[in-house]
Amino acid sequence: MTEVKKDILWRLYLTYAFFVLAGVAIVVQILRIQLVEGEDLRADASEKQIKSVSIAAKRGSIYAEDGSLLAASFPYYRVIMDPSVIDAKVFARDLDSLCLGLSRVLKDQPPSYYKEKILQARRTESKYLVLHKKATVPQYYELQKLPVFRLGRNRGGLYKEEIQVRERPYGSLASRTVGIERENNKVGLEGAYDSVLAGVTGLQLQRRVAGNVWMPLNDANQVDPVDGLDIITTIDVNIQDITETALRRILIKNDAAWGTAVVMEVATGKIRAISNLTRLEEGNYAEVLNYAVGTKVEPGSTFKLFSLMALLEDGYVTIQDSVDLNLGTYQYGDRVMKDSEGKHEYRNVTVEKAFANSSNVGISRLVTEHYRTNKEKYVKHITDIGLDKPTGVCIPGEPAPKFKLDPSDKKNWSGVTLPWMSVGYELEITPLQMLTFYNAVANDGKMMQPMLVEGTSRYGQMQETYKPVVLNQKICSDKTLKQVQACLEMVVDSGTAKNIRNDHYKIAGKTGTAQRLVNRFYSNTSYLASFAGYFPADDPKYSCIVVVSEPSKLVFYGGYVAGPVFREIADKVYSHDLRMVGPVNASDSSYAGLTTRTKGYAGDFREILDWMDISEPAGNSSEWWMLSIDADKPKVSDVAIMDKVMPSVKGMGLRDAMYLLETMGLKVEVSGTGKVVYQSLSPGTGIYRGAKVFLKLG
Amino acid sequence: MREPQNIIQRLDKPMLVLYLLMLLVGLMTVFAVNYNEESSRFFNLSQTHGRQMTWMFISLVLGFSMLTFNSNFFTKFSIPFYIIIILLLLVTLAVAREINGARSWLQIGPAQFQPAEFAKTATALMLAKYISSLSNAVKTFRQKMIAAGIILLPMAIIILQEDMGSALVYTSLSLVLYREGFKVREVIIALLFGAGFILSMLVSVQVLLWVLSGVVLLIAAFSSGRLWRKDKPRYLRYWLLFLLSVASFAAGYYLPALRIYLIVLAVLFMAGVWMALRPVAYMRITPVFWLYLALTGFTLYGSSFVMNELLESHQSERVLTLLGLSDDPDANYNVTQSKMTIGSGGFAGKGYLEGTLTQLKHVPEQSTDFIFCTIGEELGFLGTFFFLAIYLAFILRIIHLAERQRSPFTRIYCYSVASIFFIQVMINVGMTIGLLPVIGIPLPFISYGGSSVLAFSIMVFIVLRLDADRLLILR
Repeated sequence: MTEVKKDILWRLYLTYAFFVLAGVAIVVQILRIQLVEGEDLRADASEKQIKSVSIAAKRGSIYAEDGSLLAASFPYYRVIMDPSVIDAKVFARDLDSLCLGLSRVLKDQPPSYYKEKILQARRTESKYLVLHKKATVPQYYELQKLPVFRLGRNRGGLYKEEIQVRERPYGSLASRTVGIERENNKVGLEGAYDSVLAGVTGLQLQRRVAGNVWMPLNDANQVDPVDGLDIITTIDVNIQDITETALRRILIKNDAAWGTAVVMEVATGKIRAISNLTRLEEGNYAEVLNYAVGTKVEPGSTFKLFSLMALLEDGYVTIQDSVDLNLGTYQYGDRVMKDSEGKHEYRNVTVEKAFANSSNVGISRLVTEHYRTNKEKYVKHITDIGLDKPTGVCIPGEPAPKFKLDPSDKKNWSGVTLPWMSVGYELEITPLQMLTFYNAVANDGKMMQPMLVEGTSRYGQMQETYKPVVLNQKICSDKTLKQVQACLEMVVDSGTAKNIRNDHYKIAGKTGTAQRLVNRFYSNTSYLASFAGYFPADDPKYSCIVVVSEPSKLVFYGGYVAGPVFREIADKVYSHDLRMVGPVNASDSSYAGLTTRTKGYAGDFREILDWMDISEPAGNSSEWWMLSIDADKPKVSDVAIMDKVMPSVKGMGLRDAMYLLETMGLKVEVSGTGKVVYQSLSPGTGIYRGAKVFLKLG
Repeated sequence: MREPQNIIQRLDKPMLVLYLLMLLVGLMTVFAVNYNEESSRFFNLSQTHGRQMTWMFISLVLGFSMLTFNSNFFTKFSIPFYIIIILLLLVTLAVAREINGARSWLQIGPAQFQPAEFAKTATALMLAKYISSLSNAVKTFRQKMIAAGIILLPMAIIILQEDMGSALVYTSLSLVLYREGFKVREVIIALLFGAGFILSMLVSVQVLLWVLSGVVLLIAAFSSGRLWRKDKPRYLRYWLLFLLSVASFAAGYYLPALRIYLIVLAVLFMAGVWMALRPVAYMRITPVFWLYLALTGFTLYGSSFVMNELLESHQSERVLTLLGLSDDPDANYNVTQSKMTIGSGGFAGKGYLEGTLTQLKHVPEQSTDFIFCTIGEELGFLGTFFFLAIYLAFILRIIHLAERQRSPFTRIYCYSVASIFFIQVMINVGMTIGLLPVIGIPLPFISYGGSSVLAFSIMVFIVLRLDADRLLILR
């Protein structure tokens, strides 16, 4: 009996021991985890199982003043294939049809190209084969339907990486000013406003889950990405187009090396157009460098405006005074100053005539006569006006003008510096800086900073509106202003630019024909032709500068090379701008603006018709209308909407079509812009929820 | 026998207190798992912890009403209970939809419940009923087979339901069998099978085959020396059959097509050996050789069957991971996450409701199988230690109750309950801290789940009820 009892006790203790032992094992392991390995495990947690991933913010777009898109980021996919996951049987069977499909969808390489690449990747067991660097979103959807790929990521091996591609819908238009968005060295507005456009990169914590897939740790991002702000530029797409076309034409005609033209709104300094064209080869010009902002040139005669202004401001002359042109040549020390046409028969002419005909001798003689003993006084006008300083335009790369400002500095200041400076040599200034000066003259003496950006906006709401900046309230007295303005008008009326005179409106301006400094000598064959001015001269709205470098077809005078560009720009801008031209088409039919056969939401039509003061055509209660013009009267008919039947959306805007079709349960894919011109499901076909329909806009 | 006190007074108070304490801990933990700033109200029945609270309430009501039953009720009805639950398991097997890879849930109206949870109680009662009906400890082979059969029947059905976790719990009842008279040898043999199972994955099966065969042949050679001296012809016959048996068994490994025939042949040869040597009392080699056949057979052919056929691929992957045989990080994923969460708690924890990883849902299944992580993270080592201490106290208390019974029925039942709680806690906590492979079973009273709380509560209340009548002899 005791034997049995002993046995039972033994068994009991063993059972207790077993339980306690197991408990101890567990406690020891917990101790290890929490106290010994705790640190490592915690580090592990952050290192191996959780990572933070930056989420790219959408880069802001750049818009023209009227809302036209100048630059925007669009999503594209880098198409990647992992051939190693494909089942051998499927691979052997479907490879050919896959390659055919790839070639058909991507449209850039023959099927054999893909076949070779895929086979090679399969051989080397590569998991990352880039099939296409920049496929559109619809293309990617097409790819997903191809044989093999339709098996999905894990068995078909197709996946993608999203990339943002910067596109400029208007192509080269003002492209140098809009800028280039590169990883480093962004130029133009893209560079200047990079921090604004870029937004704030977000941060998301991701954790690893089964299958080596990273999933967001929780719904909220650690740092939400903030999309970049949009930039509204001051560029007017129409004026920009006019400017670029005119400049390009004259550059081609004269086979010039490069040219630039800038149009500025007088009152505000807003740049409405800025075009920079470089010759790539004869007849082919492109935006490569921003000459207007970044290139200092010896301006030549356009600078005479300054000399004249100084003389008038100091009361040394009036424009009616006379000056001796000395038959077109004059000796200063060891150098001879010549008028551009060489010898002529003029001796005594009025100051305004000397200016209008751009006499180097006349202007330089006046300046040397009055400032020879007090050169500082002449130089002080430069600093007073602020010509020696950069304008501070927002895009990077603007150099400071180069002026010789210290007559006592004998190294830089020679005996002929003053006369040559007075006619625009021995100094360098950018076209935009020169325009700023001319604009101030047009703006009754108020010098405005060139302005390229109206403000920033987000989702169509203005965030910040920039104010025009005044650089100099008054560059000279009104009396002086009146006289220089008269002189500028005379240049076009009877002077060097009389070829651009017209009867409709008045242009004021100044030609410039500078000899370019080639190998340290002023060249007789290489010129810089320019014209700076404003229009309409009576009530200036726009100022404009045109600079053409190295016109090489024997014509090189500013008046004949740059002048016509100015004229063309001025003509077209003048006729386009309603503020300058009264209404001419007041008697047109009031229906002219209605596009015919338009479909859309009835409420919108009512609003439009109401706004246009057209009474609503009778007899329609349906929600969707088609508007057509019948015998010069608007006519409305219903767009039939029936459950489970595809309606006709041709003629609808995307917003309406999308709304209508998606409420019917369809998945809509779209390409193009404008109104719907094609629908993949024809009207009247039966539809089911989730069916896909493709719309083409045009 | 005179009963001076009413039933409530006769209840074992420490046991009741420990039980209620664990319910409270469970509720708080489930609340902590699903806690977030937005839904911080505690009394909210639409939330997980609200539903858990409801189930706990139902369990308490049912439990206390069970205390009014007569103790004899449990002995009398243990056989019908067992039969009903077996039928229920079979029905579940037939009609259940698959949830998480197992077909173990029965849908009744809007509620789902898991018969396997209740089958544990029924099996414990049945086992108690059978063994207590024997006049002495489990002795004969027949008795042992019946006792083992009572455990193995529900276990087999649950394995067919592909609910490996629940099935594994039944192995804990072997502890009861040990307490009730099974030999250590028998338990050790069972352990050898387990070792063979694991070895077959660690070592090349081929090597294992020859090592085991060599060991057995060596033992046979040493122990057959007396036979050689006494009866040479019989000795030669014996060795011939013996070698033929080993050879055909080994050949079964190399010729898979003939495997079945060869193994049958080996068993027949072995039966021949046994027949030939039966009269020789001192020939002790035969059981060793039978064991060799069974063990090697299981090791060579059984483990691959278990791994490939019985276990779900994710489960066998986890077994391999635990043994260090697979470095697939995904199989290890739950454990890594879980260890990290517990580890981040440190000594004193981050504080109740302050578990950041818990709130980030860092660990999958955190309100059910991996709920221990929450305790580890928020309450740290101190919290887990005290939690486990409560559990150990609870289990030891049940064993203590078991040993003070006059009635074997109650004793055996209490042992069963203690074993079941023990293995549940052991496996559950073990897997969250990486000691054991991940096999999903709930932590009693803590894990979220109505069936589980209800079933374990019933189990505990039966213990309380039976213990209240500990002076009676129940049959």
